[in-house]
Amino acid sequence: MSRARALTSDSTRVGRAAAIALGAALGAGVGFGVLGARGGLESSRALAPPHLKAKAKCSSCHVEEGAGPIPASSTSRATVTQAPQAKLKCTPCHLADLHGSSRVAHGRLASEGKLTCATCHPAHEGFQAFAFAEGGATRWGSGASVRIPIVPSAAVVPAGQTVPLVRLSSCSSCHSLLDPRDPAARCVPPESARGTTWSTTASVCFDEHTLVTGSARGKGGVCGAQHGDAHIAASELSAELVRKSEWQESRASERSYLVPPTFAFLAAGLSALGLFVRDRRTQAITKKKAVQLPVAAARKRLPTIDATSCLGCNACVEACPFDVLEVSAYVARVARPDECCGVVLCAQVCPNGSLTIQEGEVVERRIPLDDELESQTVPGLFVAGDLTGVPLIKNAIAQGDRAVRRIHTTLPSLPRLPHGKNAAADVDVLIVGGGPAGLSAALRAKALGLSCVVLEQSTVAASIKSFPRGKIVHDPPISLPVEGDLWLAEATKEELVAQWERIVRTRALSVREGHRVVGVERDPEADRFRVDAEGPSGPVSLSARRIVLAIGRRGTPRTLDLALDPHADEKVFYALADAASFARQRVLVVGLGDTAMEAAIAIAHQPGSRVTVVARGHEFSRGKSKNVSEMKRAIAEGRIAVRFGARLVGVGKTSARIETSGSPNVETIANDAVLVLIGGVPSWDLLERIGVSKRPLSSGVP
Amino acid sequence: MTTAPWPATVWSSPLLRGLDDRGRREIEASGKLVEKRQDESVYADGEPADVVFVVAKGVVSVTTLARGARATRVQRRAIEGDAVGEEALLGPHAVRDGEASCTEPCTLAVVPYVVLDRALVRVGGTELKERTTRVVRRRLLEHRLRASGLIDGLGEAAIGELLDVALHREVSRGEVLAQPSDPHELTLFVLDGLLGVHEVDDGGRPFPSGYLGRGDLFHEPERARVGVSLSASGPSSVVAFPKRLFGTIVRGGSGNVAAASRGHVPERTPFLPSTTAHVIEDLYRVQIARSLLVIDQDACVRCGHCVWSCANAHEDHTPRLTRRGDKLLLPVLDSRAEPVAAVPLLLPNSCQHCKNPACLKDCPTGAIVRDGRGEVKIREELCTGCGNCARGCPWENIQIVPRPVSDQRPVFPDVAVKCDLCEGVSTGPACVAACPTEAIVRIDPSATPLVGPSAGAAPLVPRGRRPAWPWVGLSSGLGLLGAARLDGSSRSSGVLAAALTLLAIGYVAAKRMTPRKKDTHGNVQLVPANLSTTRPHYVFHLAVSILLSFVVAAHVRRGGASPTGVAALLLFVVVALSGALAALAYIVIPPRLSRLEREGTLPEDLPKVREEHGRRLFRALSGRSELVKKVYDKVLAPYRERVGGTVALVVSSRSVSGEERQVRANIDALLEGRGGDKLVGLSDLVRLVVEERALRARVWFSGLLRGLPVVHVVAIAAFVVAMVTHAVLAWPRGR
Repeated sequence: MSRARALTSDSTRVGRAAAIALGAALGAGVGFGVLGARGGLESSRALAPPHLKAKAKCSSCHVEEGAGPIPASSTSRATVTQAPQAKLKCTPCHLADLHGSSRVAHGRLASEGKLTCATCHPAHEGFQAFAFAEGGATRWGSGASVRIPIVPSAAVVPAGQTVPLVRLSSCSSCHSLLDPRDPAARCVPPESARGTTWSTTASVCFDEHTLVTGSARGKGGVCGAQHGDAHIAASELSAELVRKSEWQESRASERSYLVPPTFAFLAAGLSALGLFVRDRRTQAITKKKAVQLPVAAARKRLPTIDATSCLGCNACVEACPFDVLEVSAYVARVARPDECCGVVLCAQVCPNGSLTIQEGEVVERRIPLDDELESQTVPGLFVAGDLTGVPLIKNAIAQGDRAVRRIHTTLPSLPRLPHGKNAAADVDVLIVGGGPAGLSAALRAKALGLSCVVLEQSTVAASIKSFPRGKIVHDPPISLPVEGDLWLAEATKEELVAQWERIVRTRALSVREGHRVVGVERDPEADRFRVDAEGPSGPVSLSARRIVLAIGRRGTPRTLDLALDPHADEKVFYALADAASFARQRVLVVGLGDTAMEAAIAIAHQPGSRVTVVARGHEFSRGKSKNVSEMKRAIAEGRIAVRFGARLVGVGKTSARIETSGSPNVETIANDAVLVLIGGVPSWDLLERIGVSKRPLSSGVP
Repeated sequence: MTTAPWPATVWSSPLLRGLDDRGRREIEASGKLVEKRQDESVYADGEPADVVFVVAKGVVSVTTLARGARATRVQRRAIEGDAVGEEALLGPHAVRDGEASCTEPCTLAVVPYVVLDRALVRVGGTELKERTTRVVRRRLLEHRLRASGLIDGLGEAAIGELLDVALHREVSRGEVLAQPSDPHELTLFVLDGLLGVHEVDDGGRPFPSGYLGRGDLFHEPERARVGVSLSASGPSSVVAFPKRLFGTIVRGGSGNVAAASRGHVPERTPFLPSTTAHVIEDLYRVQIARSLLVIDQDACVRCGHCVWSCANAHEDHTPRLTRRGDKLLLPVLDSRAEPVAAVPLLLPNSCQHCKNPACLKDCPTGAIVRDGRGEVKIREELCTGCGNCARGCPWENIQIVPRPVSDQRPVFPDVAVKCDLCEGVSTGPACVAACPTEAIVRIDPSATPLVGPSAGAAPLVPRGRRPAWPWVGLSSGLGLLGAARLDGSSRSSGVLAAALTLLAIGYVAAKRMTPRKKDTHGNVQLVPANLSTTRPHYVFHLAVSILLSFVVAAHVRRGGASPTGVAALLLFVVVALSGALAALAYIVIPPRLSRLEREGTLPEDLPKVREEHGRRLFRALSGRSELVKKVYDKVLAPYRERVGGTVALVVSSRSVSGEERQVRANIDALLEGRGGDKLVGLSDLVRLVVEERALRARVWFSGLLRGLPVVHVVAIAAFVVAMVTHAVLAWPRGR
């Protein structure tokens, strides 16, 4: 069942594709806008800056006679002569009579129609010119330009002037430019300013239109601005500058038509990227919103059900992770109040409010903590995991993370401890317990750059390892985001443990296994803790600035006070690792908690196994309803035998001795293995010694 | 209805014998006496069964199709005083099993079972009720046993003995009926309902291996499977026989135990023209469904338009269907009924309007109802959003969503939603109407013949898929002939291109404009039209686009253009190429992709699947024998890492199972029969590495199917801008 809207890519992709397409359309629009601003909407050639300034379009000069554009490739001369479709209309801006050449030979050619403006000033290909402005000149070609600062500031810069350049290839067809006898030879710039060919070399003569210059005086407008003394000055300056600057290779706008498509696809890509980023952000926000750690309740909280309005809909039963509720006679009722952890999921899902949570008696035995999991009695000591009274692996992971984050923000930034001999013995954070909370804390500490050590009395995740083989560690219904890699949804126990061991290995977490903490002392002066532990090679003493206590409630597995015959200790186990290994064996299970029941059921499923359960009580007093009903079924089918009110008093190599209350005899039964699952001895005395807990906690048998 | 009192023959029937006058009056008032002509139907298979018929005059014959049989047969003849239609006993949601018709003109008393039940309790207390129920149940069991073909050829005495030892049991959802450790002493026969069979795999994990439904046996072969357990998937009625006695009696006859027995189901099942329930094995889902949504994965282009249009057809914009789900292979048979090919069908998460709906039974407020046509509906005004129905549905076809804002019932913030068959929409379900390739259809698996007699026939759409190629051919021809006559670079050709562009783009709008009008007459078709309204639009789009390409080619034939023209042309080339590639992908990819998939997945699931693969591989390797690890090291790991392996898989056009067999055969050849039980877990590993290889291809294929249309749409958007700009600028200069 999912309460969320099933938003799959199927239902969202139409909107997304539309958004990206809109982006592309906008991009194309912008692309055309850019082209338009460069005057390139109608022509694939760039318009010269003076033409753009005068708001001239291609059609202002070219009158199309036939369909089709101006031929693209040609020399300057051919531009005019071989373009029959297009008739150049340079007038009235470039008046033919005023802009005529001052040279007689040129004038003759022009009158024969063999020389036009475009012969010398190739209108579209590599059209070179200087445009002067304050402080310098811009030498531009067709779509390319370079700025040339005019260094001797003494010279007055003829701002606003444009001086067209002539490429020598216009001359080279008639003149032998390298022949000093040819008058045009003086127009050739020195070798350093020449291009590779004449067509990329500008003439240095600027005396062609001197006549014109004079006669245009007194005219206003564009012409007036161009012609005058300033223009003469500009021409002189140009003759100088042309020797210092390079030909502006026409590179521009021949492929201007690529601009709109490029813009379109770029914009589409950007839109897609935007959508992606938005998705990520939404995810991050939902993650952030959900971060709210369940807090152990100060009072016992129990659901109360109004039987008159209860629909019997099962929603609360499904929501409860601990089987507290059940539906009987079409009405929900609280079946196992002891199991209630006060997580109010049931009240949240009740469709008509007939289930409410009522605060009951004050929970007396708990460790006083503030909201950030810091002990209220021992400052600097944090508690995470089951010990806080909040169950579930996921919560433990989140709490370990939370505690270390808090430590990171509140730890005074002392100068780093010297990396000397004692560096390892003095750490920022010392974590006691290598379970989910402890490992999560260690990972976070590592990520935040705090030095840290984990002390674990047995091995990493020993509590999880004691789960039966293949047990599915369910994703609990509380939607808690879990930071880091510790969580695997719906993982089996083996996967979870393997994953954690991998993490410890790959992240090089400093986990000292086999170290049992025996004492923690706080030195308020130095703001340090001294931690004493018993390691495999004798007592160890460590100094730490902060402590995270994540020892859980399992404690040390409780053992039996037994008369063990020689060699019988090999067949006594305190955890069920693999039920299959008990196939064809006669197994005695001591205890009747959930763990014991699950173990008994698992072994009873093995072929040829015979299971006897020894329980002190006289009935099924606690445990999950599923386990109890399955036990009862197995008993009814004769797969499991239960001895209520019995006690295991001795274990032999192939037998076990049971004493039943009310019967004086000790019974000896044949037996191959004994599984003692009667919970653990909690570390209450340690907690009391440290000072975090004043009174012993309620015995937490897993 | 007749006002005359009912004839005495009716009241002397064993069913009604114990009633007093008041009871008779009540039944006369609520029931009716009907006259039927010869050959007129009394009830048909699959109809809701809430009444019992008592024959007052004439003869009624009940016809059934036995398991494994090819033709229906008359199973019993009811004469005066007999009752037919005992299925009503099973509860208000029971359905008819077989057909009943009058073999001669007859008069029937229609007795509503609920009224009868109440009257019996009032007159004779639970004792009388029990007695009558026993009688009816016995008749029902006999009927079902006969229908299953199990007791064919048995004498009346033997049948009587079998009925005598039968132990009836009503079970509710989740109740366990058999476990691996149980003593094998009972044979179970499913009278009605749904039972789930679970087995355990190599690693001891339970996995669902099938379902048992009406008329199925849980007998020796089923029990023999590894770690098999049986539990009720929904409320069910089960009959237990002592195993040995059952075996002895049934062997005495010619009954077809194999047909009722799931464990005996052969790999290739015999072809039966009347129903798909026999074709699709071990999916009770298909048996229980009345209107099942199936997607032909060989034709489905994974566009998701079905889901999108479903979301838009509803006020809350929540799709009632997700393209995830089980996949099953439907054999395509040749004229000799030999399977020659298989059509992969996806059963997406969408309500299938079960004959025996678990959701309906689980609803505490009665908000889920089934109408006379068998359609299951949620009455939103009664729904409390408690989620019982969603949990009850074995296929997760119900979602709990926030109530739409317009619904003024703030007491219950949530509401259950599921497929409502787009009730009131004249074009039928939006998902079906929206499919461009006619891959998705709603079928009644017990009524629609899913398999055509000839190979290659589209098995789902009765008339076959409407093909696109005649129109594509027509427009190509037209384009070839006409475009040459067009004047290039002219206004006229440009205008024509623009007009065709608008037509081609109009497809987007047209296909989304499926009518949402409520049928004013309130007439909803029983099985809505399985007709795609989008298909014609899609074909039209293809044809127009091809024509458009020719016109554009003619328009630019004379070469050269202004930058806007060239930009538009470039964009058009991208549009045309991406469109052509997408169309090609739509034809080429789906059949190849479906061979590499085992289930329906969405593209966004694939990264998770890949992640999961790593974990599963780790799990599959740990704890295996040295030999398995060695085989992994020497054969499977290189296979996994081989460069170009994915391409090889695609080129070989093997399915994942085929590839698995191939790899396994290679390993077996290498081992030369060594290994034996040391190879436990190897098949898992082979499956994983093959799936990993297939997954890469799936990612690529999904990416192409999803990505090309997006490129197409994006290019179209830019092209339209370019085209408009070009038209505006070129118009004054044009001819």
